[in-house]
Amino acid sequence: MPDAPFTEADVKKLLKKRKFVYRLLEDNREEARTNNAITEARIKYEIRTIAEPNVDIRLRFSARLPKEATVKPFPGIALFWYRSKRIRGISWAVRHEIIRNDAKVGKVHGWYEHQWTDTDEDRFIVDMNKHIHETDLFSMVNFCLKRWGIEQVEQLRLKGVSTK
Amino acid sequence: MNLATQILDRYFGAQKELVEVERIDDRSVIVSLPIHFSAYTRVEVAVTRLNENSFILSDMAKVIGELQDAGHNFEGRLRDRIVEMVKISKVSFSGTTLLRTCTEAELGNAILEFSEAAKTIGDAYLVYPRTGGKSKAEDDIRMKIRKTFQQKRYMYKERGIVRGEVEEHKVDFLIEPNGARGLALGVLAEPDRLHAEAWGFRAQDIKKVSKDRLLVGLLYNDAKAKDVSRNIIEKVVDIAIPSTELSAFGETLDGLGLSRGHA
Repeated sequence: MPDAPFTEADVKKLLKKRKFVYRLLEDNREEARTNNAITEARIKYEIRTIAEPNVDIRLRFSARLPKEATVKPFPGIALFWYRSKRIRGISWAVRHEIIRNDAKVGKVHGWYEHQWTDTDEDRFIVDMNKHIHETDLFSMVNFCLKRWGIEQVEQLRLKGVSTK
Repeated sequence: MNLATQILDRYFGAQKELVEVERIDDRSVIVSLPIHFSAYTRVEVAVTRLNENSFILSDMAKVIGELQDAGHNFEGRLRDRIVEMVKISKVSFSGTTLLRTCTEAELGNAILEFSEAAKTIGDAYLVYPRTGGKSKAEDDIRMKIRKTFQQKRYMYKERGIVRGEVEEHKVDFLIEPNGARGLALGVLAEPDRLHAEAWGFRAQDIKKVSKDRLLVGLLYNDAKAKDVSRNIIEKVVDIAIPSTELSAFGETLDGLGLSRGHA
């Protein structure tokens, strides 16, 4: 039984609102590149609405890219509301079933987006393959920010990190 | 065909349809198995040939990654428990990636055991609370603290680290002294005796190093505080603020002469 303090309609409303990156909570890409003990690159932002910039609406944007162990991993990006409820998220899989109203209604190969619903929470996904072209962390972060209506102020605009 | 054979035929037939394989390069394939965990995510195993007779299996950091994406933290008690649970499957961790090596003869069993371990880890989310599982009351307290700091124009940091004589301590809010006086503030939602005593140690250890440059404060939930823990808290920290008196927090700050310099 879903226990989220919001509904699917609230999520849709929130996504339509203009939002911005209020502050950078974490960006360890440089450290991850130089320090072997750090096993994944992570970026985390606090997101607020432009209409109410002084209110923490408990919206967090998170991106991560594990370091390669045997095969090249893909980034995982998520938008959390109330800190831990994934209302949107983009990932890659050889196969992921599409769940709608507790039933399997299809499957996706490749990139998909989790979209929060009242009945299935973050289990409902949609095919994103035709929308995703660049799959490095930097491009994926920018793609997701744009897709989810989040603007970046110049000072917090994500800079690429050299991979050399 | 006897019944057992018929059942097994059906079972393996279904498995063949449900399992998907994707070739990555000459040495690696990804096997997607009909085993699911958080958000109905499949267990997918990258199988890489190392040499003539040995293979390495990897989950490409997807299991822990998916748990993180679903709002669970892979650290502390949960991490320890997971590492313990998967020992039997000969699975090890490289950061957040699950790995196992095996010979060619062991490969079939190794994939089965590996996927079982991955599923067990993935299901840890059913048992452990998500990160940020703090109560609404605790979140409200934190929100009020933030607002007060902002209104009073203090430069503060959340989840700061403060050096003590014995060890470093995590505090919920930190105003750096910057040549004046700073504040290390904790929020105690469950103020039982154990936590109160832990804060007692923390406060003394911090003060041994910071002398008077850093005050130690504790905002505690007085609806849950018993007399004994309340007494401990009030004796060991510089400022003890019951949550019911949070409205006076701003005035309390005014009287402390705290730094307003850049954090």
